[in-house]
Amino acid sequence: MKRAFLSGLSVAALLAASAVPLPAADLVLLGATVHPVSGPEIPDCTLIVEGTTITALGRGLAAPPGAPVLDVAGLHVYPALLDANTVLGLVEVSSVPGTVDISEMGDINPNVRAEVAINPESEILPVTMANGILSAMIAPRGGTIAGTAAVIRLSGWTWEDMTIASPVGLVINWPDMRVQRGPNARPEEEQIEQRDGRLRELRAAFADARAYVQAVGAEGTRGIPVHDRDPRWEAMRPVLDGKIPVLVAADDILQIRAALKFTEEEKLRLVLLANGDVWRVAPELAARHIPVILGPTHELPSRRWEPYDEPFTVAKKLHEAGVRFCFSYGASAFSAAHARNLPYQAAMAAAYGLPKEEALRGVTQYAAEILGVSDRLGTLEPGKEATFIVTDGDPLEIRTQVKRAFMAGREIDLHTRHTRLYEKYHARPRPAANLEPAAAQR
Amino acid sequence: MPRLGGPRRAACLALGLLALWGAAAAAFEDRTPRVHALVGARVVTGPGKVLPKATVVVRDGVISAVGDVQPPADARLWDLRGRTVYAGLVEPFFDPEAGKKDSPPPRGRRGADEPARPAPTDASGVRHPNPKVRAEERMAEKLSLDTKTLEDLRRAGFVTAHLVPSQGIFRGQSAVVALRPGVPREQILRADAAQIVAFATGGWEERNRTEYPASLMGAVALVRQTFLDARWAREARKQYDAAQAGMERPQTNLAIDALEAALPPSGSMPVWMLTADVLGTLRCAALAQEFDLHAVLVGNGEEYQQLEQVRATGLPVVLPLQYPAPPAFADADEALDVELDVLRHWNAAPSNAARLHAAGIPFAFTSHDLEKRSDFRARVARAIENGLPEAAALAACTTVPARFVGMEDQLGSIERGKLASFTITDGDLFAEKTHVLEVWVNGDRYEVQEEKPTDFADLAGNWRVLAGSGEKPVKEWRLELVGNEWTLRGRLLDAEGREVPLQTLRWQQGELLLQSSAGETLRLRPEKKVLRGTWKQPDGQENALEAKRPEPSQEGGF
Amino acid sequence: MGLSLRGRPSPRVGVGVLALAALAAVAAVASMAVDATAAENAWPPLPEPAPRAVLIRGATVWTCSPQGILENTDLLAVGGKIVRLGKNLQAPADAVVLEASAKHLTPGLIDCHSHSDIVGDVNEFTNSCTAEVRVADVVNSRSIALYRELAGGLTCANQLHGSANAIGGQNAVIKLRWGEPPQGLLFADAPQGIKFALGENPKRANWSTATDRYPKTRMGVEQVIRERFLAALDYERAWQEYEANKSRKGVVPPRRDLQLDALVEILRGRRLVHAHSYRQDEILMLLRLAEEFGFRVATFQHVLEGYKVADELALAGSGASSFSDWWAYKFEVYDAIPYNGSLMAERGVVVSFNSDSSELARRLNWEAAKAVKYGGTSEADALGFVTVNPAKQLGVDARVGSLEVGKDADFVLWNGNPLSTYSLCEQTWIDGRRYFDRARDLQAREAMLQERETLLTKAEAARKKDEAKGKGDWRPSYLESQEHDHSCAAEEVRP
Repeated sequence: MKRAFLSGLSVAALLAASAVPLPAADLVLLGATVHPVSGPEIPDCTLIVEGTTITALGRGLAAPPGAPVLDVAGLHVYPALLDANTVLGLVEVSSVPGTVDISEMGDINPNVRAEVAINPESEILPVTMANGILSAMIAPRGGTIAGTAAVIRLSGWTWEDMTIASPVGLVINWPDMRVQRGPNARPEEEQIEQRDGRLRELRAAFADARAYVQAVGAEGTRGIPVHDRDPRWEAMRPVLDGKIPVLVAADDILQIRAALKFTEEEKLRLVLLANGDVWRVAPELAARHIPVILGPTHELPSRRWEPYDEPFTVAKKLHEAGVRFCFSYGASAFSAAHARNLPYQAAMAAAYGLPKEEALRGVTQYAAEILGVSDRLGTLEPGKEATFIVTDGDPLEIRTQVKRAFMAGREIDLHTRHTRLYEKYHARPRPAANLEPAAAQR
Repeated sequence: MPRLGGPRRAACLALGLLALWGAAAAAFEDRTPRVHALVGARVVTGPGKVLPKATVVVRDGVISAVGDVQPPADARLWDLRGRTVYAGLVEPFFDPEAGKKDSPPPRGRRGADEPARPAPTDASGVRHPNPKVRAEERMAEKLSLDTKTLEDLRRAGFVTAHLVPSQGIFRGQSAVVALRPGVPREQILRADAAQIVAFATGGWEERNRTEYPASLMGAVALVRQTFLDARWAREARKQYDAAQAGMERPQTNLAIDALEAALPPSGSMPVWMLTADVLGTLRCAALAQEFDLHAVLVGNGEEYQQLEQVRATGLPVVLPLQYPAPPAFADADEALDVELDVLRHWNAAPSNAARLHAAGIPFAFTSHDLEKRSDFRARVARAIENGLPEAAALAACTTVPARFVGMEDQLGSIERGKLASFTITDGDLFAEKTHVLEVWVNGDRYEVQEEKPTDFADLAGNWRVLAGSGEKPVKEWRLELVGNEWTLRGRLLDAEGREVPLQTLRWQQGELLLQSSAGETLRLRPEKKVLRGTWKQPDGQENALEAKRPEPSQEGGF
Repeated sequence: MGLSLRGRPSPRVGVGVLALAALAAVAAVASMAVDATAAENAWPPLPEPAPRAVLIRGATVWTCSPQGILENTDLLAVGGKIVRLGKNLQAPADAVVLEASAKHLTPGLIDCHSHSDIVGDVNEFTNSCTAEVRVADVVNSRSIALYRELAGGLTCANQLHGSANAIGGQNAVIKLRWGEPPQGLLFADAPQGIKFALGENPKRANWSTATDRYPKTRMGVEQVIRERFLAALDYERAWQEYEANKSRKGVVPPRRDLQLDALVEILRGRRLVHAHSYRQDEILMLLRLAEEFGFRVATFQHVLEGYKVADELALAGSGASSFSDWWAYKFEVYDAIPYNGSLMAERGVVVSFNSDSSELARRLNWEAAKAVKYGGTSEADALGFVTVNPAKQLGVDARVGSLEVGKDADFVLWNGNPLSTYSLCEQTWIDGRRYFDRARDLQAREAMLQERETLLTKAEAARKKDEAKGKGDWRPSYLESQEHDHSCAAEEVRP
């Protein structure tokens, strides 16, 4: 550190002397194959980090003098992965209610925001980072309008520290539109009544919010009183202004069609949190430039007659239709603990026909773009955040190890609860020394 | 309003009423002679055996002669020209509690048709500790069929029914009954005909209230264990009877004791097992084989899906006729949720019987799960449309169910010595337009009252009657009727307004019958708001008839 | 006269009726036509008959045996058995020959923990001990999960009772012979087994409704098991006394009790115990209890803290069948680590990875790859976690689990390294018969979609004709089984 400082001083002196700027750096990686994702891979590449940002990368670039150098020959550098739809940080043990902060009561909760409930010390976060996922979108999940989503880093001192962007969208869980028939179903009228009730409630929420915004906006002119503040409708302003999209969770064709229609009528920006039937509406999605955050590829087909690989080919079909998509591991509490397996969701799509580069983009570049954080994350380019991973191979292959990880220029400790327990029990003395004689004689 | 079906029935009813009021023994036993001759009918003596014109002689409830015979001098004659006489239909599986359950038993479910009421437990300890084992129950003791139930069955054409209990897993012993009013001893043809077993369980939804077993595999384990217990009890009692002294008396358990009747080699009572789907069919067959049971499977309509395996079991099947409805969907999006298997089964279900027939699997038809029992013949007709030979269809309603319930010597066909139980129609049994007009049960006649369509108003008034279909009617009349069914009178006018002399103008058995002196016959039945029927001319020519109330402008002449 | 299948002329009735009859006849013929070719039209496709012989040429063969991974090798199977492994083998005259030069061949994958193919509830949850209950009575041969798992290379699965009871029901080991009736799925030579469950599930810790049933603690779980084994010993003694005295008069055999029969079989080593367990304390408890009663626990299932007592497991000779990397869904799995498999294997435990999920069961080859990633197990050994090791645990390793001469011809053809996430399963063979063929599946889709359209149109027409002769929709029982992906780890309160 002191040496760098002294070097910096001398450089500054030189600068002062000559007015030609020389590059400064806090970290230089040498010798790896760098995968920018926005372009082809660069073998034997130099990557230069200053502060929190990548300042340069390229083959044959000279390392600025005095910068700490990391020799990563034979390894690979990828942008860190981004899980685009999770509840990371909001749950610890899904069967223990005290540790679960995912769903609030009631159907209309636009003002509920996820980031304030993050537990930065959750054991799940380091476990997830250890496989290269360093950022994620998190969102509340309860009711119809669930709340606002945020993009977070998975490491930080406080939730403030961890929050990269918020709000990035308003989550809407589209009500189930199907009428269950058959001997064990509830009466048809009852189902329709319940569904229609929720849809009416949704529509009313938007109407009320618009009315609120209009009324408050008229304050200050003659004769207009000051209105009471309603936190719910306040929270909906950015959606009504078009600054953020609605993130609509809808898997079934009826839900998706209804959501498309609704957002068109209400003139809302839309991002679908979808799976299942979403590929059936690909042409409309492409025409309206609606992106899709895909749910888990590792899903069973929802209908018995559907081909066995249907969920594996959704991304490919969207890609072929020109629809922007990205992957996520899963939005459930169970999924949060296993988000480290995000890259393999993408890999499955590649196994069944999606081009490999697209699969990789689906967990990096596209995720950042869809969530509006692509100025910083998703690819390795000068000016972007120095958030990347160093691996011994393709991160979409299970057998690949993530060797090192960097978040905004600072290295992340990849030790986790799992590695600690591993090391402890790996070192447990072998039998003869620690078992009772009776057991040893058996 | 219920119609009285003849003098005998009136007498029975009167007797019953007297008995109800506990009158003194001044009531007369009915001594009307029970000798009848059914003359002039087409008689189908058995599947594929037709006598175009024959006489059936009935004496004291039994068939004494069939064929081209002279009616005995003491016989009451019944003119059945234009009618067809079949052996009475036998319903092989009738659950009297079915209509009274809280909710209808769900189809296709895994045998969970047990209502969610807590089953009574037995404090005295003489019954089986598991309340779902009720093998000792006897339908013969619990018999109480009300008038409406009997009429409902007879309207569909049945004369005999196999009554089954419906609670639990080992449900108890069934009885074969004649569908006539009266006290049980007059109705029961066979008590304790079969043991009924169903794999009825609770489910996850009721997990805090349900008792063992809650799962299907639990139910199978219980059945297996219970049969083992019955074998063991038999062995234990054998030892006890031989030893008498020095041995503790084996416990009494009514259910286990009752099951011994079904256990070979000493017992031969058939065991009827209910199946919810074709995997259940195979499962029950395997259980039957494990204990060497004489089994009959109460089927599920899916048998064709594993036809070869079902055939290989060698077991007879009682087939339901509740074909699935066409799957419902509003548009192409909803159609995605319609499973291919559901479509295929809907498409193939009506041909199930035909396939079983082609594979040589013995089967009988049951009406037990139909929403409207009177649809029974139409459902059989559908099976015929889908490839089942008509003779096989008739057999599945008569000779085969008779055999399944062990009554082939007395029922199922029209032969000397068998019970005088017939189903009499105005056409082919399975033709769409045919109606069941009367049934005979053990030599007693019952008219069948058709339900009139609810939107039919009175007969009285003026009618415009048209013969022939298509653009131009062949003939036209005006029919003027006054009165009700009991006081009916009227006149028939031709197109020129001239009255047609009538020999007969009568309402009988749901039909308006007009016979002219010239030998024409007009028959009309109410259908929604019109009357429909046939016009038969003396030379045999037949045309369709339709009668509508004329438009107001047409009143008073054509 | 209108067309009538009844063989008698119809009465002269209206044209409409004639048309209906004609339609019905056409429909009858059409439905017969559909069914006459039912085998060809089947969806998913039914397997073709087994060829007498099959030769796979030039594949990378993962033998999962001491022979290891063989490059550019041929495998010949005749009559459902592997007869030769080597280079440049000759194909018999009528053999099916598969050119596999860029492909990998592995043994059929084996899932040691499955609930995919069970009719009805997988738990008989009404008693703490239900050893009389048999999964073999309720095998669901029509489960669509069966086909989908075949498409992921699975050939053999251990159908288990759920984990609601300390002592559950008897298992059924099946081969995934799609298209066969239930009896045809059972692996006839597989040793009998039974499910035990320890930890939160048998004490109903996660039920959403309060329940009063013993046991409510892990301590009670031990006592339930102990009490039942004592009852089993009493029962066995009663039978031995009977055998000694049965020639005398008035001697009645003891009542045959299916539950106690099964428990005696455990004690005498004739029934394998598969014990769902998580925490090291309950694992150790059952190990010691088994020692006390003189039998060995065949496998601990899930056993996510097995790494903490790996030596104890190895010494006892118990196998461990684990998840690769699931954790944190219940508190008892908070210490679960993905290195579990590698750690236990290092210490000499026979380790397998299972699915306990119809979804995961389709990609057990990927689960195996996790053993490479976490703990550095070699690729060949890792594949063994889902082939030869579960075969050993289920006692069927004389027949399946590796590609060796004399074993069943159960194998899978992959388009790349089976441990790579970019590989997929192309063909799955069982007993020398091709039960899954991706090419054939792809080809059959067109016809299937057309058949759907035809039937949908027909159904719509029938609805319009008010053909309401049926009562509501038919939902076959096997569709209901699919609605619940049973899993011991599922978040819902189902155990």
